[in-house]
Amino acid sequence: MSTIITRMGDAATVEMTRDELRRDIVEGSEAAAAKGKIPVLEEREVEYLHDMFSSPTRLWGVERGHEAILTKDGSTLTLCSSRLSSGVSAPLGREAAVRLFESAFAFDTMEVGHTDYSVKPAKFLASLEQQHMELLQHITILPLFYGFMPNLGLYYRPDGAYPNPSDLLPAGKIAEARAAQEEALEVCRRDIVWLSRQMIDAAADGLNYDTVASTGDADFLAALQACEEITSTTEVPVEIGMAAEMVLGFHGELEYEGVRLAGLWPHQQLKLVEKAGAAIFGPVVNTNTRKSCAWNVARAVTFVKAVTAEATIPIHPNVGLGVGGVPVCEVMPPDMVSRASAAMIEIGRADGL
Amino acid sequence: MGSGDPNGMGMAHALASSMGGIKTAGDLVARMQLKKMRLPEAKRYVADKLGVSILDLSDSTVMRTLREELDIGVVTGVPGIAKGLEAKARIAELLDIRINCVERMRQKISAPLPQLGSRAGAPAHDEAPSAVAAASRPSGAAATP
Repeated sequence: MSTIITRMGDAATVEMTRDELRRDIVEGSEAAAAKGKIPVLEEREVEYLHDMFSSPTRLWGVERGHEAILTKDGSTLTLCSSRLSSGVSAPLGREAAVRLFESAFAFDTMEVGHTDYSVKPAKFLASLEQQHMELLQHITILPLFYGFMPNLGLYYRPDGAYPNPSDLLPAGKIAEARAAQEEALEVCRRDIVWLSRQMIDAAADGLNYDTVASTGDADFLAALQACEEITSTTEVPVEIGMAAEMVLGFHGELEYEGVRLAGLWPHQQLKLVEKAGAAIFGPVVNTNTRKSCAWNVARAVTFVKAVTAEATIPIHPNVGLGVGGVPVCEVMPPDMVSRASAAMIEIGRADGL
Repeated sequence: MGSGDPNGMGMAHALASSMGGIKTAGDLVARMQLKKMRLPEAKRYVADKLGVSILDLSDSTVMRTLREELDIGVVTGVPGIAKGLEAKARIAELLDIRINCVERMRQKISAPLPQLGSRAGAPAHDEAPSAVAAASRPSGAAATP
C-alpha cells in the first residue's frame, strides 16, 4: 500500500497510510469538539483535508476567488530581527522592510511595531514610533496598523513594580496574587490606551493588540477594556489577536460584561471581543508536537469554524509558528504552512489570516 | 498571521491564500474589513465600487491595468502614477471612506499659516526677516513695520 509523506507537529517528516491520515483528521476534529463543546467537521470537510494532505504537491492553496486578507503581527521582525522572532537579520531599516512587505511580498496590510513588541517598553519610545508611522503613511498605500502586545508579565517583579503572582500563588497567597493582578492590569490598560492614542495621532489606520492574554485573564481584561475605550471614543479600528486557545485563569475571578474570563475558548472569546468594539478577531489554536499536522489542522479549523459561524466581524486566525495547525519549528516548511493557510479559509471560513 | 521566517511563513501564506495587496485589490478589501465588513461583504462592496467581478479583485492581470486607470497606485515602479498618500487620498474617494492619514493631510493643508508678526520672539524691526518669514508673505507685500 502506498504511503503519504507528511509532517508531525514539530515539522519532522512522517509516513502515514491513507487510513491513518483519515483517522488523525477525524480525531483532531473530535478533540476540538470535546474541548470546546462545538460541532465536529462535516464529512465533506474531512474529505477536503484528506485530499489536501494526501496530495504530494509541495504547496497547496485556496480556490481562485476565495483569497482572503492578511494582517501581520510582529511587524517587520521576521526580516529585521534575530531568531527570537524567526528573523533573518536582513540589513534593512523598518521603513524599507515595510515597503518590501507591501511591494515584494504583496501583503494586504502591514504594521509598524517596536522590536520588543510589548506596550511597556514601546511607550518610552512613542515619539520614535510615531515618526516611523508618519513617514510610512506618506510612502505606503496599504492599511498600516501599529501593533503591540499587553504583556502584563512585564508589570510584575523583577521587571515591574507589582508582586509576581507566580511567586505568590505557589505560596498559597491567593488574595495577594489577585490584588497584584488587579493593580497591574489597570496600569497596563492605561498604557495600552495612551500608546494607542499616540499612534492614532500619528495617523495609524488601525491598532493591533496581539498575543493578548499571554499572562492570563488579567491580561485579557486589560486589552478588552482598552479596546472598548479606544473604539468608543475614536473611529480607529482595533484588531485583537490572542496568545493561546484558552484564557488561563491566573486570577480566576475576573469578568468582562458579566462573563468570567478564565477558561474561555475561541468562540466564547469572540463574543467579548465583539462587545469591546474590535473590528477584527484573531483566535489561536495551539499545535501539539506529538500529533501529525493533519490532526493539528483538523483540530484548529474545527475551533475556527465555530468562531466564524457566529462572528459579526472579520476573523483572522493566527497561523504563525506553533499555532493554527502550523508546526512548532524555527524555519517553516511551506508545504505545511500553505495547507494550514488554505484549510483555515476553505474549511474554517476565515476572513483573513 | 504570526511569527515565522519570511520565506516559510509570510510568503507561503501570501501565495496560498492572500488577495495580493496592491498587486490586486487586497488593500482595498482590507480597508473595508477595518470597517467591520466580513470577507464576502467587503469583496462585494469593493467590486461594486470598481465595477468588476469578485474574481477580478484577486486577479493581478485585471487589477494592474485597472489600478493604473484609476490612478490609485500600482505595485511596480511607474513614474507619474499616484504614490503613497496621493494614492490613499484617491482610494478614500473611490471607496467613500475616511482614511486617518488622508484626513490629517487635509487638516495640514487647510490649516491657516500663523501671523508671523504676532509670534512671540518675532524679529525686531531693525532685524532682517528670516528666509521662512519672507517666503510666507504674499507676493509684493511689505514686511510688517
